[in-house]
Amino acid sequence: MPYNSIHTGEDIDAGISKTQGVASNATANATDAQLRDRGTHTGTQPLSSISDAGSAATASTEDFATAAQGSLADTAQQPPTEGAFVDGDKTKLDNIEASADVTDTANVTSAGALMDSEVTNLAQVKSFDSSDYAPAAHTQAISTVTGLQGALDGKLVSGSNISLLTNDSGFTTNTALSAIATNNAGSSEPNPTFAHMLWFDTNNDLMKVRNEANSAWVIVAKKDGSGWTPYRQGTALGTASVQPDNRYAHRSNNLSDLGSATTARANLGLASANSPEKLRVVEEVNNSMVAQFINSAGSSGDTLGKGYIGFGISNSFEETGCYIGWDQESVSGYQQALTFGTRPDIEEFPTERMRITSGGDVQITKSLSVKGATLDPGGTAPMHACRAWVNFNGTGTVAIRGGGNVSSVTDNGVGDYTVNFTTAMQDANYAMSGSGEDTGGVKDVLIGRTNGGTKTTTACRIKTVNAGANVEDFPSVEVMFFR
Amino acid sequence: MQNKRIIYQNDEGNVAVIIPADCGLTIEEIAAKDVPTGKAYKIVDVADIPTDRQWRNEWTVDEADLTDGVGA
Repeated sequence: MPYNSIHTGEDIDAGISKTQGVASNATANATDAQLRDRGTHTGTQPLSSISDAGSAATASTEDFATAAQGSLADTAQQPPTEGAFVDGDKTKLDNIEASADVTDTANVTSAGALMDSEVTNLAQVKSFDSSDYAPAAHTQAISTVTGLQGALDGKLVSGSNISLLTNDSGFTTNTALSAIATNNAGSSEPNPTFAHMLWFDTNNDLMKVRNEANSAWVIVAKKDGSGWTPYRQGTALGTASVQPDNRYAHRSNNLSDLGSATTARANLGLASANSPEKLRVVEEVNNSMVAQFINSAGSSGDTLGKGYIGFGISNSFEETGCYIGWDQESVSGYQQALTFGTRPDIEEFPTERMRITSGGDVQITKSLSVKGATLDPGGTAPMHACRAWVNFNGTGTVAIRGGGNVSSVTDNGVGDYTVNFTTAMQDANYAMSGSGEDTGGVKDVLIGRTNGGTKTTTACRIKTVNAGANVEDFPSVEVMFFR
Repeated sequence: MQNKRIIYQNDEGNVAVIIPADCGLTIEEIAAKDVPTGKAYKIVDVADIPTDRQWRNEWTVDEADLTDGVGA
């Protein structure tokens, strides 16, 4: 209230009363608003005394837990319910590599471990017990094997070598080796027996072999003085009573005949005395071995005869498809031809197709095919083949088109050539023939020998003459030589 | 060998040209065999032989050029 204002007494009294109520040193120059404003306050005030202080702090996004933390108090990590971190926990976390995943197969493998997913017998692995395995290499004393030492001691004679090993029956190795060396020679059969075992029966001088079934002995030979008599199917060979009765088997009455220097032979044929022998295998004549094949007519002596060896699908000669045979060409001496035949029909007798005569000629009854080329002459007149031939162009660049046994053609001049043979003729008495055509296509020309020209075993000089009797180069010259 | 020829001078003084055949012999073997004994020869390409034969009998060769061998 301004001092120069006019006041009533009541106002003064009221003022005095107010003044008396002001505390000593009270601030009297501030308004109530200023005095009540918290910004003008000094000193401290407990947070608990400020109503709604907690919600005010939470709501403010500018309040920090501490200035040093630099993060908002509102978002700061709260301690987990299981308890706060303790010293050392950060160190453990620092040792874990970035993005580490303890279930990563590579990490597990790198650490030398296996993932469950890598083990196919997981249940077995997890149930594995150390007693389930044995060491990879180990030794075990014989003495720890029950009965082994005793069994070994019974097999060996102390101080002896292994050849004296004895089995449970007291049979020693020396005994066994001795038996083998002597083919089990003895008066009684060996015991035990085995299939194919040999036994020389000294009681009967018989060599026997045990059969496949190890059920019986089979005699293979009998000791006969200093020699042996062989057995076949349990019966001694060489006994007349056991000779076979077919044509294919041995018929000699005595095996010693086979080795005789003068009468060695082995005949195969029918057993019947009236039937001629079919095959006499060998006979020694003048120190040479001769094979004789006798036909069913039994030809021999001074009459002409034939013999055959048949081949075919049948075991009967009469039904064979082809043959190699001989044909006696003379009743005196040994002039015999070698013949070859085929059988065109099963009902016919083989027909001779080729013959090598006793004089060495080769005779073929049908056509001859050489490298697919057939020579099939008609009639029986002898043939004399061309010994050389050539076809050449005698004009421009003289050139050979084809030939045989011609090594070259010499161009001596116009219409003048020499034909040179690769292999020389036996003499110069050969015949020459030629043909061709001149440059005008005329074939009525002459190809002949040059007057006074060469005609030797190695070459022949020729001339080509046109229809006008003039020497001329021909585009086609063909000449042949026969001898 | 089909592209080769053997030339020599014959007794008439003409040039003789040997055309080799495909007979299994080499050109040298044919030359030695088919060139007359004592005649000097030369092996040439077929292209070296004239194809115009109008004056065939007038062909000549310098003996000094026949240097590949002598007929056996």
